[in-house]
Amino acid sequence: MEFAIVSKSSAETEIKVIGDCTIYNAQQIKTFLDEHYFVTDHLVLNLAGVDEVDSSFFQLLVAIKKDATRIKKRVSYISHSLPVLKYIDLYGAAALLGDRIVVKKEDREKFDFKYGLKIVKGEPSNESR
Amino acid sequence: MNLDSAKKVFFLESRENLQRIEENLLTLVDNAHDIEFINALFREVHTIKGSAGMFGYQEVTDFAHNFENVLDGVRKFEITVTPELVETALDAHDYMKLLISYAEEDRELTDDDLRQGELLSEQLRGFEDEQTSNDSISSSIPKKPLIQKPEADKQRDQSSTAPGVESKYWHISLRFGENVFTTGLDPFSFIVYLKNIGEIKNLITVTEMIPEFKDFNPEICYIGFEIDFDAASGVDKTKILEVFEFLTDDCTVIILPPHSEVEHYCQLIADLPESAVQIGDILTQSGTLTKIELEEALNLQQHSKKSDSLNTGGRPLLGEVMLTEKMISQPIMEAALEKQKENRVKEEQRKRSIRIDADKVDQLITLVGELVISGANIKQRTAKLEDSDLTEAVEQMARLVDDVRDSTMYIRMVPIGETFSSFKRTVHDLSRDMNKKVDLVINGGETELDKTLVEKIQDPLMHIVRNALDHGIETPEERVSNGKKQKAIVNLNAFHESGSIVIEVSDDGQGLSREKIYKKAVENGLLASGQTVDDRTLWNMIMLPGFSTAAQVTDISGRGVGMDVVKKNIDSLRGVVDIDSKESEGTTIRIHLPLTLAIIDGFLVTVEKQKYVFPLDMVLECTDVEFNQDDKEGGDFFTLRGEVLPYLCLQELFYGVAMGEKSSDEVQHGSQGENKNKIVIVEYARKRAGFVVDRLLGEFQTVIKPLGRLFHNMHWISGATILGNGEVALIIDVPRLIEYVSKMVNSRRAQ
Repeated sequence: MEFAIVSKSSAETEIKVIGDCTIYNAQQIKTFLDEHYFVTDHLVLNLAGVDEVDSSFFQLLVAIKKDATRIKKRVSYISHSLPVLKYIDLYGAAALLGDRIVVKKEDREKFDFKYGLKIVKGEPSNESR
Repeated sequence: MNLDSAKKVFFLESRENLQRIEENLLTLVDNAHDIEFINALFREVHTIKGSAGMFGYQEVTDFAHNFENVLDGVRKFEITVTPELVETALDAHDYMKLLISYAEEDRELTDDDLRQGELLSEQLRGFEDEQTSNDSISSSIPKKPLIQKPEADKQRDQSSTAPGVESKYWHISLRFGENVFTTGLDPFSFIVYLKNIGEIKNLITVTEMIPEFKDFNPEICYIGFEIDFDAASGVDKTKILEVFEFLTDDCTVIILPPHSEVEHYCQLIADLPESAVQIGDILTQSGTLTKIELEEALNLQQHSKKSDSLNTGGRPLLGEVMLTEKMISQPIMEAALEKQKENRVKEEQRKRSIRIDADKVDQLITLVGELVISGANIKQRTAKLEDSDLTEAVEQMARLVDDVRDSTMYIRMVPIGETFSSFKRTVHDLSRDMNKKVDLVINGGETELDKTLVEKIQDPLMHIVRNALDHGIETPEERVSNGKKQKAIVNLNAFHESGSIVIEVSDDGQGLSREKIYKKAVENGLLASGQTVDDRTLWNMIMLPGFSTAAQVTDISGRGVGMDVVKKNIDSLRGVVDIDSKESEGTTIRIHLPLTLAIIDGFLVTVEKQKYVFPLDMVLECTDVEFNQDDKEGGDFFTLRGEVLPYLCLQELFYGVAMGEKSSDEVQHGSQGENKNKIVIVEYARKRAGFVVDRLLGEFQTVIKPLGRLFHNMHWISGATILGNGEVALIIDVPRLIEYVSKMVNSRRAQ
């Protein structure tokens, strides 16, 4: 598992997360994100390279999103990889996370994003670009 | 390895578990839907089963297993709580108690016992069968599930039109243990697997427990799921449960069948870790419950709580004000608050308690007693030296010794509540047997008294409670025709009063019949025909030996079987029994007991150069009184600030006449030569009297030493103590003296 910093500033930091994002690396991911999340207004995580995930990573994604809403920061997830999307789909979290999700045509059948709350409560989530 | 000490702990804890099981079962009678009690019951039985298995008590384990299965069914709403179930469960409790006591005494079960066990197991299995038949119906027609109709529907007549919620899907709530990730389990796979036996209609990830990101530990699982599930045909609860069987014990899996009753959702809300507001929102927004159903669920919670509070003697409701505002979220808030409170109480019970061998405490108390005596010795010697520094140091030490003594005595103090609760079962069983409807209301269960006293008071109390139920309380029909409520109330009450503890047993039954007791008293030659006597004296006569023998008494007074035994027992604890009664309104029996048995604060006096001690708690004041011969004409009374009090000259009583002889005549004839007398005024059991002594010496800490058999006949002395200088002082038995004085007064009045 590794990180690639695409851009870094106090206004916006974009990081590519690559590799195995499971419980084995959870602590490491958290430590790395701690470094960047608190010092930028807008944290963008590119998840295209995430090839293995589990519920702990999913939970981590939700945790930052929730915290960001609370302290009025922005956090966006982009280019979700298929493993990430599988979790978001089953856990009914598309609306909860609120990012724009792009699914390739050939993968469309794999997802239906039908679960989750009918009404999303609270602040309107920060739509990604 | 020596298992003996571990076994000892097992038996001790099992007894406690059993007691809690009994308590919970009795509470369950009125709160058939309170999942808390059912869960608690299940846990207790499970604990016994587990520990018994560890020590190889197979019979206990097997039986507990049966018992547990039924409770598990109740817990999962598959078996409904009926009065029969509670009765059987109580019997099962008794049987388990028997098994455990046999195991403790290493005895073999008799054939009778075995038969009883068989029968009970069968009965228990009968309840389980009901469950399986339920299951089979619901599994064969999953789309049109069985709607369970719990007995307690009477309680919720207002909602009887709504048998279940609209949702036609199973509802599954999942919460995981903190370590579920680190143990290598991924909830994802369970949910994917769930898809094999049906269709997930909706799934909500519950994220409310995730903390702020800075406090977030990525290895801990905070999330949970609420799932609406359309089970494939042939899938029942067990099948669904099997999906999650690899989850560890600290995970919560709650499965509600389609069209479950609203109240089951109400319990679901109470069972989940998130607040009721959050769960309520999730359930409505996911479409599991409609807004109306949620509202109903929460009102129901409110409703059942209200009837609870009525049953327990009117505990005020937190959210009553909120309810009037007719906002949904307010009752939800209340439910959440209530839940927090429950959790807190549970924690408080868990924390801070250690088990100590009673012998060790007794040893400590003996030592403290010695310390008190030698402390007094030092104090006395220092006083002679007139060294102010030393005096100060000794004073300080004396204060500490006081504190040590008080806290040591406090160790032995236990709340009487436990004893009281054991009567719940008695009342339950007796009222069932006698076809009477009785509510036992307990107050002041937290009142503490000496452990020895608690143990010894149990039997007399039992007797009194039994009497109240047997003779005091009328049948429901009689009650109704007398304009009373059908359900009678027996009150158990405990409180502190002037250095003693008072235990009251009162009922709202028919009361004592003055006429009948009077007649009987005359028959027994206790009263002369036509003699006037006040109520209290008359009532107290039923405690005289011989006054009450078997059937006669039941006819006469409706009271009194074995009351003389009760009185004797209480007497031996230096206590006093008092009876208050109003015909057709009820009877109150009041027991006054000394707080402790070993060390007391005393008030030291001398009579004829011999030192005597009054227990300080009972001393009201000391004063000089001038008696003149004229006063005495009317008897041994004096007036203190307008109040007439009887008095007794201890000099006369102890030295003027031969000890042991207590003919009141002789004592009354004695007269005091001097004009000014020092008098100690004491009160016990709401009666006051003055005792004339020679000199007042002041307060003194007293360690009560019992007197040997030789002094068996000294009626006015309850014990002895050793003074600082080694001198012996005798402790005056105030309750007896006061009783004696009032008897004397009464006989005077009668003349």
